[in-house]
Parts: sequence; C-alpha cells; structure tokens
Amino acid sequence: MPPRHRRSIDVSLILLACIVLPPLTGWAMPDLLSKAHALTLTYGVTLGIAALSLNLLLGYAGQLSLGHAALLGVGAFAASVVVDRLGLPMFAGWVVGGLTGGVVALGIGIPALRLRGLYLALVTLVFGATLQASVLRWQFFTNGSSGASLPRRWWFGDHILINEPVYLSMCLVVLVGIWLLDINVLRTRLGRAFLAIREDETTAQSFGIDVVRYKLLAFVLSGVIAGVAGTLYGGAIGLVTSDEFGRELSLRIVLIVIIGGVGRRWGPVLISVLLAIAPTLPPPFRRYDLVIAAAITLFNVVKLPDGLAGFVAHRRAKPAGPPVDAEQLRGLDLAAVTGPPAVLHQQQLLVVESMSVAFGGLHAVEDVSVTVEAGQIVGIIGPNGAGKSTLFNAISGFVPATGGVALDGVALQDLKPHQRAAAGLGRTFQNIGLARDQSVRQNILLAQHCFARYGDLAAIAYAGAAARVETRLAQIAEDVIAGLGFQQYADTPVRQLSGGQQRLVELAAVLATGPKLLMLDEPTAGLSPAAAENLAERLRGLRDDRGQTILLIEHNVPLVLDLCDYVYVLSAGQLLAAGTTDELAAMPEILGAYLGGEVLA
Amino acid sequence: MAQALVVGLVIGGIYSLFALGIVLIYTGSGVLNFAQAEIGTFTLFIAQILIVEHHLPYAVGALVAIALALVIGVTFERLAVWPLLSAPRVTVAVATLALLALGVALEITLFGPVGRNLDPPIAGHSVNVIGVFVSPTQIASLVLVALVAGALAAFFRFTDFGLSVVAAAQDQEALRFLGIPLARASMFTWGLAAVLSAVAALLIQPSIGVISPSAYSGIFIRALSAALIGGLSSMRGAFVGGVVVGVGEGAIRHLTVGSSITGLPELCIFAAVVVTLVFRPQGLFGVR
Repeated sequence: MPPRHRRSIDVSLILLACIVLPPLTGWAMPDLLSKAHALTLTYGVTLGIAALSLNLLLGYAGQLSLGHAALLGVGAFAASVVVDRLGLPMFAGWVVGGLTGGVVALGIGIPALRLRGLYLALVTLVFGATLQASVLRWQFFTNGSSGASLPRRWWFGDHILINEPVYLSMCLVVLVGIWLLDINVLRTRLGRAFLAIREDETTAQSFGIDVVRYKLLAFVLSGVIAGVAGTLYGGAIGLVTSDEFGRELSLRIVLIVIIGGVGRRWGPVLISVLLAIAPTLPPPFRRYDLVIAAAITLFNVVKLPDGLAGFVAHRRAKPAGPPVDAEQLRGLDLAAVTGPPAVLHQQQLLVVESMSVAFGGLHAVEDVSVTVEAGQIVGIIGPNGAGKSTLFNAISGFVPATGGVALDGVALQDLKPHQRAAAGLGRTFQNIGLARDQSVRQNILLAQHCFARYGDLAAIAYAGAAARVETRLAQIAEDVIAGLGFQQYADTPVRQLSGGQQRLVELAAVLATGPKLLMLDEPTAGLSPAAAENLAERLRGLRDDRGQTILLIEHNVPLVLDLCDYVYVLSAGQLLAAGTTDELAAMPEILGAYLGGEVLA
Repeated sequence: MAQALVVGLVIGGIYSLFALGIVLIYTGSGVLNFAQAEIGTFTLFIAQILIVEHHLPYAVGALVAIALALVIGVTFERLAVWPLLSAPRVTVAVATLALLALGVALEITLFGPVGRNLDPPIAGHSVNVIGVFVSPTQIASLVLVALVAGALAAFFRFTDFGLSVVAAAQDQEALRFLGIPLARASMFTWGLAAVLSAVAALLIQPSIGVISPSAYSGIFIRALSAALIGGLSSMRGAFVGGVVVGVGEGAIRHLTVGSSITGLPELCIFAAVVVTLVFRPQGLFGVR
C-alpha cells in the first residue's frame, strides 16, 4: 500500500490516547471497573506488550525465543533499582527497563544468531533458566526471594502512588505506542528485511540484506519491548519477584503468539487479555486456562499453522494468477522498470579468475575463468549438472569457492553475499528468489533494500529520512508495477501468481535496483517458445537501449546463440569452449556432443 | 570433593539418558523435542500417586509410568509429528513446546504446587567405597544407565532396524529402499525417547527428592545443555555431554558452597553451552 500513515498520525494517536484513556478508566471507576479489575486488565495489557515483543521476533524475523520471561525480568529488576533505590520517577524505570532488555538481548544474540536454525530458541531457553537460577536471585540486584519494590511514582521522591485505573490507562498508552512502532517497523526497510529472512535467508542476502545484523536487530528490539513489558508488569502490583519470570511465563507468551497468530498484532493482544481475565472467570476457565491454551496451541500448530488471525485472512485469499502469454511479453517495457543506469568504470565488468568449488571430494566447478565485457550479453550453456548454477552461486557468494571475482574493478571474493549484492550484482534464481508470502509491491520494495538509506531509529519513528525515502521507494514500486502491467496484482502475495508471473516480478525487482551486472538463471524456464522469444527480444532491447550488461544461464541453445554476444560452454565443472556465437556455431562437435545434435539441424 | 564427583557422575549419567532422547529424536526426525524431560516428569507424578496413595509396589508404579510414557510418545508422534512430515521442522518443534506446556499446565492443575514424596526403591544405608559414600540406589542407577547405554549402542550398531532408524535422519529415500516403513521408524524413535525419559525421571527422583512441577524444570535445561555440548547428532556426544554437565555441576557446586552468589553452576553450564556453540557449533562429537 502507498504510505498512507504519516508520523504526524503516530504522534496525534498517542496524544489522543493520553487525553482520552485516563478519564475513561477513571470514569469507569468504581461501577464498571473495580481496582481488582483494573489490575487484571493491566496484566492483560502488559502481557499483550510482551506478546507483541515476541511476535516481532517470531512473526517477522522467524526467530524463536523461549526465555522471553527472563528479558521481562531483567527489565523489571533494573527498573526497580532506579525507581525504588534511586527514587527516580516511574518513567525513568520504563526507559531503564527497556534499555536493559535490549542490552541483554544483544549479549545473547551475538553468539546465538550467527548460527542458522533453532539455535536462538535453544540458547534463550538455557539462558532464561540460568538467569532465573542465578542473577534473578542475587540479593543485591533483586532483593532475593522477598522481591524488589517497584513503586508507581509520578515524580522524584513521590510517596503517593499512581492509582490502578490511571496506571491501566498509562499501560494502554504504551501499548498504543508500541503498536505504532510495530507498524513503523513493518512499513520500512526493517520489517521487509525481517520478513525476507523469515522466508528464505538466501533470497534476503541476494537483495543485499545482512542477515545476521537484522536478526540481531529484531532480537534487540524485541528485548527492549520485553524489558518495558516486564517493568509495566512489575509496576502493576509494585513488587517484582524472580519466581514470576520463569519457564511458565515464557511458555505462556509463546502460546499467546501462536494462538493469536504468528506475525499478527491484534490476535496476540486479544489472547493476552483473555488469558489475564481467565483466572477471574468461573471454573473450568479459572482452573484450566493454561491447559486449554496449550491444547489449542497443539491443535493450531497441526491444523492451523497461521493461528487465529491468519485463519481469518486466509479465507479471503484470491486464486492463482494466469500463466504469462507471449503477447504480454511483447508489450513489456523492461526499460521502464529498470532503475537508473549504473555508472561503470571498467570495460571488463566481471572478471572471474580460475574459480573452483568443491563439495567434499566432488569438484562441482574446476578452474573456470570467465570475463564479461560491459554492455554485452554473455551466456553460459552446458548439460545438466555441468556446474552452471554452482558457478553463479560462487560468483554471488552463496557457496565457498577459491579463485578471484572482481566486479567493475572491485574484488568480491572476500565479501559476503549481501555485500556482493550491494556492490552491484543483481541476480535471479532458478527457483525464484522472492519472498513468496509477500505482495508484489513488497518484493519490489525489498529489492530496493540497499537504497533505503536511513537509520534504524529513524525507521522506528518513521521520521525524517525514513519517511522521505519510503515515499520515493513507493513511487518506484508504483512505476515498476505499472511497467509490468501488474496493477491488479500489486498487493497479491507472490505465491498466488503463476510461475511465469513470478519470474517476471523477480526480473523487474532486480532490474529496478539498476544492477551493474544482471545475472539470470534460466530466465525462460517455464515459458512457451514464443514467450521465450519475446523475452529474449526484451533483454536485447535492454542491452541496446540501456547498455545493461547481462550474464545468463540458459538451456535453450538456439536462443542463446541468437541473443548472446559471447558464450561459455561448461561441462562437468570445466570450461569446454568459449567464443562468440559465430565461433561456436563453427564448432558443431562441441554443441553436438554436449548439447544434443538437433539444435543445429 | 570425591563425594561431589561421584554424585555428579550418577546424576550426569541420568542427564545422559534424557540427552540421548533429545539426540534420538533430533537424528530421527530432525526436530528438537522440548517436551523430552516433561514426558518423564509427568509420568513420575503418576508413579508417585500409584505407589504412595494407592499403595502399589514400586515396580508396578514404575512400569505403569513407563508404559504411559510410551503411549504419550507414540500418540504424539501419530497426532503431531507424522502429519507434519513435510512441514518446516520449526513447526514440529513448536508442537513439542505445546506438549511441554500441556504437561506443565496439567501438573499444576491436577497435582497442585505442593511437593510430593516418594521413597527410593532400594532401602539401605550407603556403603563406603574407598572413602566415598554411595547409596544402593545410586549404584543401581549407575549400573542401569550403563546397561541402557550398552544395549542401545548394540541395537543401533548391530540390528537392521536400529541402523535404519539412524539412517532415516540422513536419507529417508534410502530407508524406503531398505524396505523399512518410515512410519514405523518414526513411531519407534518417539516411543523409545519417551520411555528413556520415564526411566530417567524415575532414576533421578531419589537425587532430587521432592516431586513438584518446578523441581523438575531444570532437568531439561541440563539435558539440552549436555546434548548441545556433546553434539545434537551424536549419541556418544549425548553421553559424554551428560557426564560433563553432571560432574562439572557437582564440582562447581562443591567448590562454591557458601558463596553469596547464587546459581554459579548454572551460569557455568550456560557459559559452556555458549562457548561450544561459538567455537564448535556441531558439538564435541557432532558432525557438521
């Protein structure tokens, strides 16, 4: 969607919440809302904030934390130190609680997030239990088993505490604030990077996203929110004890997010409030609330993997898009979707020197050297298993390789995949490198990651550069979608498009970044011969009109001979031949032996 | 100190059994079973009720607990693991989390927060073995752990079915060629892991004493730490990891007795896990 939200809306919503909520909760006293009710609801709201915290991590970045209660705990105890012992106002406690949660998350995240998979879940689980057995029991930090006091005081040294209904309204204001912050995360670079990582780390890297940095950022943000949630939770009764922040609370938060819907906001918050109210309801709910929640979770995981909110959203999903036909490609204006042309410095744009890739004892690519001249289309052909895609992956940094790679004079061999992408390597994948659960528009924005230059804090506040850049990127996305003629699919998840349509979106998303070198892995796969011919025509136009340099892998040999300026023939990981298409056409034994004789007939 | 080390060895051996269950399921199904210790803990409550409240012999209570664990393991495999065969592994891991939550919630609601007592199966005084006091239960526990370890090692090395269960992790296609149904291997793995959990819970009970939901929450953490240190893909690693964690914890506890800083052994285990993950992510005996 185009950026309808502005920061002024954020600010006015928070102001509105500040003005409306306190009198509302105050007015409801004591008829509608007793002190006990206010306390119960406050628990629900703070639990909701904790659920939003985990949702940011699990629902967006796809990383699971099983020790979230420990982050709530360190936040609450750190807040108690400044509020109770130093006599600072409650609000200072919120800040200190949040910061502590963030710092602790950073400390755990650095070792845990370098590894793929479930390692964060394992480390946070052990961490949470360890913290509960150690730091949260230390007398000087938490006052041991008697607990630390966390008074709700307005101002320095106040002894009169904020009453429960007003405190409830304050927690609600914080919930609104964090909700808006969450929206800001999702509509900027941060959220797009998180969601891409959740779906496929390779895709994310190919768009220039530093996967480890963004996973860490998601965990730190989550830790900050958890620290605030813990502080608010502790302030509800004004006493923090270490027993509250154990395994059970961590599990409860995970259950809430899964039942409410992973990656959603209202579902988890609603379930949080319901779970907080449950103990005040008549039995069976009072006694079996956690049993029921666990049973629903088990059912959800097996039958409704996207939770309650996801289930509702899925019912409204649209059917798959039609296949791409030749006519559509004839009308396609690739130049319109291409970003500003890259400024090149070297005539030899890509230089690959004696590159080798070995998997165990198998040499997938052996001593291959490839040069791509600026402004040319270069093809790589060869039988299945010749190492073509492996060579592509080695050039873009996805498999470890020996040998040199330089793009426009910059040595790439020691760079990570996302750094190579940022250096101007744009590529597509045989199995389509898009975040398939995201819309066409989101994917085109995702591809613009390296051009979304604004700070993380600006992104969270949606302030200054973030708003400006996002407005510009939204316009680019609009133009690219119009250039593709995909207006009616702009907000359709890519998963629901046909294979050919997905391939076009991928190509457009990469082209829109204005890459120095466009690397295409089987661009015509799945297209009819006529459609393939038309796509080749468009690529040729791109070279002739825009000077775009292209390196492509293709099975369709006649098309390659027709389209390319220069062709490399790969077989069993080695370079078999290379030359202009005319030279290769004069070597029928090469093409005949390795690619099937009929192609020259 | 020697006393502390022997106690650590006994407990470490039992951690190994839990860790072995984790490794079994990880190699067989590619999933981390977060409920691995919970299954045993839950059945331990049942055993306690049968033995203490219904005055049944210890052996009967223990056998019912083990049988119940088997039922829980196999049922869970059929209901949640098998239908999710092609789902992302994290989904199945979350399902085990739900099972863990269900177990904890049931314990709290059905059995209450008050601790329960269960006398060790073998009465008698500790015997003095070269200066170290060892109770008959501890000796029995050590012998039993060694027997289980030996039996499992032989089973996975020398029987076709055992080999195929291990092979399932590497190549499910190959398993089909061997003519062993994947479904049976998967069911077997989860059933065996659950039984191991029940046996280990019964064995560790005399060392922990009182039975309450919270008293057993730390065991899974120890077992998981052991599996991570030894290597999630290595049964040998699970054993070494379990002993390392048990003996290490005993030694550190002995050395820091009376320290004002609570939880030093736990902090050291956490540090060991982090150091292992940073420098050798596959664990001591794991393969990448």
